[in-house]
Parts: sequence; C-alpha cells; structure tokens
Amino acid sequence: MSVEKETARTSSPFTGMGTKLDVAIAKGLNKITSAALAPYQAAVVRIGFSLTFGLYLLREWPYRLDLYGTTNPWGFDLAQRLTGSNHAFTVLLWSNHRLWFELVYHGVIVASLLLLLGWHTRTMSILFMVGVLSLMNRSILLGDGGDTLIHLMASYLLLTRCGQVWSLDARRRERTATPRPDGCDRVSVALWILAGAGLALAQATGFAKLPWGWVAILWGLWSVQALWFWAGRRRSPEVRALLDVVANLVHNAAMLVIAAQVCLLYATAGWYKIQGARWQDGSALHFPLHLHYFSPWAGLSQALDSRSIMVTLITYGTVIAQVAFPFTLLNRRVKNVLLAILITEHATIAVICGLPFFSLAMIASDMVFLPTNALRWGGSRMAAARDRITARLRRGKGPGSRDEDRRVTI
Amino acid sequence: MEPHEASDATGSDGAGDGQAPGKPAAVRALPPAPNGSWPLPSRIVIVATIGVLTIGVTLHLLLVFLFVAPLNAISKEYNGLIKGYVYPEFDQNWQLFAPNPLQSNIDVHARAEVAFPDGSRRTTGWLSLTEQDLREIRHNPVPSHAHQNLLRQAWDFYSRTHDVKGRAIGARGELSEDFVRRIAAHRLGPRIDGGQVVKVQIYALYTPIIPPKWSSDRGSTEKTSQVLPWWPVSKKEFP
Repeated sequence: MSVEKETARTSSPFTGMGTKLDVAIAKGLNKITSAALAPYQAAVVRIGFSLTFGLYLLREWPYRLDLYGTTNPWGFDLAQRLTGSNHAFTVLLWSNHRLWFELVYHGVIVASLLLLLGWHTRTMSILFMVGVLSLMNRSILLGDGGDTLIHLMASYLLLTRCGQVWSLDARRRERTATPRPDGCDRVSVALWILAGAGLALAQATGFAKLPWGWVAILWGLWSVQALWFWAGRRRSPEVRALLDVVANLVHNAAMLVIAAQVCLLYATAGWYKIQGARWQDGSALHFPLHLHYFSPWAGLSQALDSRSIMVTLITYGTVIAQVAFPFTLLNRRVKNVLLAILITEHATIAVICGLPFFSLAMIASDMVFLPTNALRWGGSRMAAARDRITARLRRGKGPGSRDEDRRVTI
Repeated sequence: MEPHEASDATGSDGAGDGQAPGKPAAVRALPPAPNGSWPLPSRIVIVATIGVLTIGVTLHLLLVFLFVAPLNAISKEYNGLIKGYVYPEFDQNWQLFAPNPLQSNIDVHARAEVAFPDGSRRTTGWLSLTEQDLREIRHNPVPSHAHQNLLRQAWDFYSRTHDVKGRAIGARGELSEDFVRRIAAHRLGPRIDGGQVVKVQIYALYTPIIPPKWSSDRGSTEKTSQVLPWWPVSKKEFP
C-alpha cells in the first residue's frame, strides 16, 4: 500500500500516455480508413508502368512472334514443361494458335493504353495484370530486372485505387454533377458482363487451363465488382461507405507494399554490391562499360571509362545511394535529393547501357516517393502544355466545344 | 483498439488530415471515416479487414525479404514456405551487377552439319550468334529483347544449369539444352546451300575484360572457351 501511495505522489513521465496513445491510434486508423492515401503516387505507378509496358510492346512489335509467339525458340512445349513445374500463370499456354497470340498481344497493348488513360481503371488494371503475367510467364527467361519490376507492380497495382486522379475516370466523376454510384454506368456493366462471359466460356469449353487458385482470384475480383454494382443499385449509402472503407484499406496496404518493394530492391542491390571486390576497389563501373551487350554507344562508354575518377565516384556513389535509400525515407529533404540522384542515374543508364525500358520502370518506381507537391506541380505543367497544344489546334480548326475541356484536370 | 472507438476520439478532424487543400472532388467525395454511428456488422468487417491486411502485408514482406536476403538460419528453416510463396509470381532477383559485375564478354557461336541429297555431309564454319545480336544493338537507342536478352539469357540459363563437366543439372538443365539448340537452329536455318541441317554444335568464347590500369586486382587475361557436343536437330526445332 505504501508503495502505491509513493508512486501516486510523484508525477510519472508516463502520465497521460494512455490517452495520447489512444489518440494516436485513433488518428492513424481514421487516416487509413477514410481515404485512399497518396492518390498522386498511385497514379504515377499506374501511368509509369502502363506507359513502360505499352511502349515496350510497341517497340517489340516486329519481334513479337520470336519473343512470345509461335516462332519463339522458347517453344510452346518447352514453356509447358517449365510451367508444369512452377505453375506460373499465362493465358498464352492455353493455345499455340497464332490468332490467339495476336489477340492477346494486341489486347495487352490496348489494356496498357486504357490503363494509362485511366479509362475504367479497375477493370483495366485486372486486364493489364493478366496481360503482363501472360507475356512474361510465356517467356520467363527473356526478362531483365525491368520486366521483373513490371511483373510485380502489375500485381500490386490491381489492389490500389490508382484512378483517383489524372484519369478519365476522375474526369467523368467531376463532370457529372451528382456522381453515379461508383462504376455503375453502362460501359462498366458491359465490361463486367463481357469479362465474366469470356472467362465462363473459356472455362466451360476447356480452353482455359486455370489452376484453382487463379479461378478463385479471377472470379473473386469479378464478384467484388458485382458487389459494387449491387451496393450502387440498392442505393444503400451504408454498404457503399463500407466498400469504400475496405477499398481504402486495401489500397493503403498495397501502396505500403509497393514502397517496401522498392526499398527491398535498392537494399538488396546495394548490400550485395558491398560484398564484391570490384565495387570495393571502385572499378565495377568499368566492366559494364566494356560489355558489348550493354554498350550500344562504344564511344560514349569509352569516354566515360577513360576518366578513372568519374568511374570510382559513380561506382561508390551507386553503392552509397542504394544502401542508403531505405533510410533516407526518414528525412524528407535527404530523400528528395537522393531521388533526384537515382532518377538521373537511371536516365543515364537508359542511354549508356541501352536499357530504356528497364530505366523507365525504375524511374516509375522511384517516383512513388516523390512528394505530392512535386507531382501536382508536374501534373499542372503537363496539363498547361496540353491545353496550349489543344488551343492551338482549335484555333486552326475554328471554335469548338471549348468550355467542356477547360474543366479537365490532369 | 477498435476503429469505431478510435474515430469517436478524434471526431471529424481526422478526415482531411494531411491532405493538401484543393484536392479534386473525386477524392473529397469519399465518405467520412467510420465512427460510432456505424452499424455493428460494418465495424466487424472493417476490423476483420484491418486484421487480414496487417497479417497479409507482414507475411508478404517478410517472405519476400527472406527470399532476396542471403541464405540464413531462418530462410533455411522455412525454405519450403518461402519458395512456395514467392515462386512463380513474386520471383525477383536484384543482384544487378552484384556482388561483382560480369567481367568477360561471352561470344556464342554455332555451326551446322548439313546433309546433301547426294548423301554427302559437310560441316559449316562457325557463325557468331552474339555478333548477330551486337550488329542490331550498336547505335540503337532502343535495343530489342530479341537481341539483348534472348541468346544472352539462354546461355546464362545453360551455364547455371550445367556442372563443370557439362552435365545437365535436373530437368532445367535439359530444358536449357533444348532452348540453346533451338536458338542455334533458328539462326542457322533449316537449309544451307541446298542441304538439310541435321546437327548443330555450340561453342562459347569467354574474353575477359581487362581491369582498369589503376585497379590492384589484375584479374585473368586468358581467353577460355567451351565447346558443346554435336546435337542432332529435327524439323520441329526450326520455326
């Protein structure tokens, strides 16, 4: 008893901590349930990766059959043997027919474009993931680090609400005075029916060879969409609000995973380099500059290689930046400086090593960490540039429905 | 701590927390955070979602971390679980040029044995498949995976799945042989000078990259090569 009296008299440093903790937890929970956080960063992931993959598919168009199609040296039988052991998901092993391949390849280009524009984002992100996984798992050995990153991000993107800003969806929501129950317009329903019918038909005819896990995932996603329609039809604000909260939570979890994935990428890339003698003595950069496969501009590579101080600085700088990256997230200013360095480095790699798509994918994932203000500033600059161009085109063509477009935000 | 209680404590001030003013209507239009007025089933769903997501995210990141980290006591213990989860869709390798960058140029060559209608057989000269790739890569701002990755990674796959004596390691090793053989067959073509290609042979030349003058580690300057046995090819191995 006496001890208790004693403690009661002195004021404890923990006084009121319980309340403070409660408030902190409350604020945190309120934050993650009430909004899909980092909408601009999510949009950057969407735009960055759909742009990268779309451009990649267009670039490879002349070689598409050799890389993923019927004349692929990694033949249908070889791919079947490998997938038989690792159970990777690909619709391209459902049939070796040229027509099916062309349909998928061009379908993925269209899905990439529509995801980029944010047209029915939720549906397009599913089609995009199916497309990315199908192509990459058809030719597993073809991909480099950039492809791996696109593969991962396509799966994570599916769980985010990445069409909140900078999308046609956002524009449509803004234009309608009273927003319809989310996604309950005719096109959404048509897409949903088409997707369901297509999947059902493919399964019923035995065309689709889907492991049960993927059956559950695809039909699960389809049912989730049905749930949104149902909530919209019932005009039940409670169910809609609940769906919104759950979607926010899933989005926030997925954004956390995306950020952590990028940190894991840099951390492993950096920590493994530290163990290498070439990175220790500062000569590592010299070697890729002499790898024929990664020096399309031999003169440029030699010019860089001839400056030994530059080689050492870049070699050490790369390791420092990669190892430090996850820790710099603790300090906003340091993080932004490092991001600028990393983005510059990736842009340089694009040219010197001839890896434009790898670099684009890396830059897209770097941009997840850009501050919202910078992203909004960039967005408004791009919108202004676009408005100038459209205005110039309009002037050429004469007056059109101008004020409709002025309300567009990008 | 449950979310509905939580929201009671902060009231309505949390809804706009951390959001810049002037965010688009689409974001603003989202409903307020759940509070005490929410029906019980909704609260249960929200709490359950938070629970499932917390466990899911933690497990995902933990397993991916153990997968990319060097082999350790934990990853040895849970090897099956980790690989079972990560393969095939979360497979990743970020050891880009690490621990050391590749320190030699690899030139893969192929030649063919051609059977002619008169019954004679001739062997062609070596064709550098790598040089074919490099011709397409040089001065190309956007090299294709067809030239930059296809052969290069196929050969890497072959090397990884064969032991020092050139024996295939498991089913992957056999797959890699079929793959490399098919690439050679595709590049050489089914017919040469009116004869039918019946066998192919692969030969890889490793040319070390000389380290910079100022590096104390001189490395090796010796060129090495690896010659594979003749492989018969059938019609199905041509496009």
